[in-house]
Amino acid sequence: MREFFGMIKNAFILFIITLVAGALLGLVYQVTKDPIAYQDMLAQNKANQSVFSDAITFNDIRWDEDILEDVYDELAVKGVRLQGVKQALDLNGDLLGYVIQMKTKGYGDSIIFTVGITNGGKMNGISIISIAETPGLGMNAEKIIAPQFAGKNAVQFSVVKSGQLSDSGSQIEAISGATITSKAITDGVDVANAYFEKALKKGARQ
Amino acid sequence: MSKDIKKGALGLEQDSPAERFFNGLIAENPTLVLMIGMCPTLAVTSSATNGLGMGLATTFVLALSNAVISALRKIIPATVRIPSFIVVIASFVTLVQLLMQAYVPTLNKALGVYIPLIVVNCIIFGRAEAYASKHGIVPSFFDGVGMGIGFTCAITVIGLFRELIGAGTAFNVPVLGPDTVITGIVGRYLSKYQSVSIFVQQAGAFFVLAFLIAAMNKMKSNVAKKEAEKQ
Repeated sequence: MREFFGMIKNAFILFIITLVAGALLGLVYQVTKDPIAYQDMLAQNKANQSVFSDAITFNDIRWDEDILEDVYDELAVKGVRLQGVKQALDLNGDLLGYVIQMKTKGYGDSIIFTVGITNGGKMNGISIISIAETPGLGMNAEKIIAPQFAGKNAVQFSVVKSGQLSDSGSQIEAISGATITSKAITDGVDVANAYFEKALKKGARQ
Repeated sequence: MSKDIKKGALGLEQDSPAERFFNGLIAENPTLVLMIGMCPTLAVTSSATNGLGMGLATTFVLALSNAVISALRKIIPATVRIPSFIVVIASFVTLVQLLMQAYVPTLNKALGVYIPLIVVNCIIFGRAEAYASKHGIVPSFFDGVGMGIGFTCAITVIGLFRELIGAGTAFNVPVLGPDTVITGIVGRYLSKYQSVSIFVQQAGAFFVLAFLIAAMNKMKSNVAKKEAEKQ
């Protein structure tokens, strides 16, 4: 009987510790919720701005599910999802191009990034919002992969091993040791570009 | 110094803040002597900056969780101490993550990937069990600081060697190879360097760690020999 009460007492103490820890975490969560949401918004704006530096406002528009499904089927890439399409407008409200937000499956966690494509079908570049790959390898995507898209035509890209680049207009040089990360981002860009080509480009079905 | 004061690391008074600090840094360095916390040591040391980031984040959690566990050591029953420690450590890690996300987003971007790894870092757990649960708050805090800084130094040095040999850079500054920042005759020699990329990949971590442990053992055996000759 004494043993039984000892066990109940221990369990109770553990329960109290967990309860206090949980309450404290809840409190900190409440306090930090708004600042975190604000920081996320800043990061989002920065990602939009950095792929469209001459745009002033960004308007969310709805994307066409049917066209998107076609693009997914056609490219047959795994784990890639379109998360949002924004119009990039200048001071006069003229349309400069589109910012497409993509989510793709990396080696570690999901990689979320924006792609900026001008009306003329040129990529302003990509900007990574969140990434959690292996430090020193996949995490170098921002330094090695992202700059490779800037200024190129919005076409379909293939990934080649580092040092084997032969056509920089349609090839992306992989990070050595992080092919999966390189491929994941390139797949995401491909879907964004294909969707732009089919749904957003001038003359395409609106 | 009276006779009943026990001596610890480097001949300092046992359990004094300074003794705890140097104990963690040198005598019982968690990475090179105790050899605990090997997962982050091998996984995130592909560059010196990564090592430093992981080390500092760990030091912060280690010092605070040691202090709290020490404060609770008379309340926590021996039979449920392990889950209690886990609750305290995991709470601190989550706390640090939330605070960093909210108030220092730049630091969060640099260290964010390491934060969840701290929960499973066995240095923190090991120190809670071996030291903080048996000693006072002040020595436990400094034990955490010393162990944390010792871990930071060791993994930063591993990262530095791996980065230097594997990519020719040190803290992202090109030192060896054609892009070297060093000019003049030395720079011309350094620019001929060809980097060995296996060192930034996983296997390189084992090579560098082995050499550093060997160097540490050699140093310690030399010190021990000198001590023996003195007596």
